[in-house]
Amino acid sequence: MTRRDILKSVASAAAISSAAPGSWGARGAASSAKIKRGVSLYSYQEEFYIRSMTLEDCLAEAASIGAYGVEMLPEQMMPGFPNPSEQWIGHWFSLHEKYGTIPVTYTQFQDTFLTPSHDLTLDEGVRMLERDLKLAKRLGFKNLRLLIGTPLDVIEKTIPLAEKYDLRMNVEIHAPCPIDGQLVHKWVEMIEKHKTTHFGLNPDMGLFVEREERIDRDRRIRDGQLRPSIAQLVERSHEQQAPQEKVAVEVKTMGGSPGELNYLHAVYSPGGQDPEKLRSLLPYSHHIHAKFYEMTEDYQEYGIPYDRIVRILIEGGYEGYLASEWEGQRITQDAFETDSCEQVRRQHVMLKRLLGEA
Amino acid sequence: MFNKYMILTREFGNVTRNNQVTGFQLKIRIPYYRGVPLSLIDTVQLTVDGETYPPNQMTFTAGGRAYTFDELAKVTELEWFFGDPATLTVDKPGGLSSGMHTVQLGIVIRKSYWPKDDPDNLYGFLKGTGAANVLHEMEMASKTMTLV
Repeated sequence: MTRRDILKSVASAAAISSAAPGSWGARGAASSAKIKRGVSLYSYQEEFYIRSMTLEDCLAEAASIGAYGVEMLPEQMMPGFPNPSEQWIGHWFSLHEKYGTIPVTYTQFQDTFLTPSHDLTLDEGVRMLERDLKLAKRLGFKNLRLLIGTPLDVIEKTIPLAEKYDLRMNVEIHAPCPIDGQLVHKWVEMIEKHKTTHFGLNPDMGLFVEREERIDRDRRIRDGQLRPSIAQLVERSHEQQAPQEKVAVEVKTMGGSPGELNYLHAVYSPGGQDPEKLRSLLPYSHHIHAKFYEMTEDYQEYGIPYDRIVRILIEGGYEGYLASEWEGQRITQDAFETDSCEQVRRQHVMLKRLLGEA
Repeated sequence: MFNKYMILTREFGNVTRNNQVTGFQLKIRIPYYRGVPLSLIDTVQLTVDGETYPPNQMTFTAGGRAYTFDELAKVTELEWFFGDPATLTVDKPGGLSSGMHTVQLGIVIRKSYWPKDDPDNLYGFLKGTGAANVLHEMEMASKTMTLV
């Protein structure tokens, strides 16, 4: 039995008995929803970067909050990419055995402009994607996250390889991409044309930011792009539903800068799409990024309506993972120490509640 | 985005070869959220105490090997690993003086994951969002530190 076989049998046994190995407690216990909680280790990137958390620390933390499904960016956490040592691969599987975690999604980057003098041809693109499929397979993953900019012809030509290696390539629908726009339509057309489950979608919940994140406002103020007086005026006007054009005039009267008018626009048009639009795409969705920027002390995402989103996912019959993807650090790290674990923990308190987990 | 961690103080110093001080070295980390093949390191702009050093006066050491910037552009199989220090070695006969120096560093990592062309305008939604500017965005950092 190889390490991977052991892992597979552990994973399936755990799914039946809901008992994870070791002392990490029950997996997915008493949940009314079939959605599983996971985490993209992207969330812990800053601690990994400054070496205050190792890969083992990340997996131990994920297990300790019941986020057993793991997404990883090999180019973030796997030394020697794209040629890891056998020793590292052994380490990877031994950690999953130890903590009861499961490799779910491999985050791929299709570097079409790989060198300054030559862009990848179609066949070179397919070879790059195949390299990642093989590596993902070796690491025990089931899914490959493709970026929104992965060329369509490369994806289409790689579908038979994804079927051969039995990995699902899921392209990320990421803001500001319109959920009901042409690009998503093309992807769905391709899935239908090939009648395949090895190419699908990976929606990112950052699509649904319906309120300007306050950490973003505070960063604009720290960067000197926004005066607190203007921020207050804009927020108050927005709450009172004053017309944007009228507020723009007021901001300009106060000597408003382009950055301040940009903030006005952000508050009035945070860019969030209607989560209802996701419903029809759920049958094609094999993995979901639970993107977030700030979890407040009362376990709410400040700007993303997770209560509505999760209800739609449950009603729509989504059965894959919701993988935490915290991206607030890039907004706050200039002034505050990053505590990725606390932010992810808060999100999982919220997710447990919304998924009906005891 | 990891600008604040880009410049390391440790091992900042002069480089000696055959008993001659030939230049100085600086440890740096990637400002991007993933490691990248060396070929994606588009630009490294270094200014110390107001003097800017052109790329042909520097080498970049990763994985135990020093590369010129012309060589870097061709290295697609070796990554500048996320969070791992690389070393910039700068030619400057006599090196830097002992004492305080202000180091300014700008790095462009080429964002390489877009299609080559878009005949059907599928990516039209990106226009005007600033996404195109991100492609060649320079991450900047500045630090004042002591050379012994």
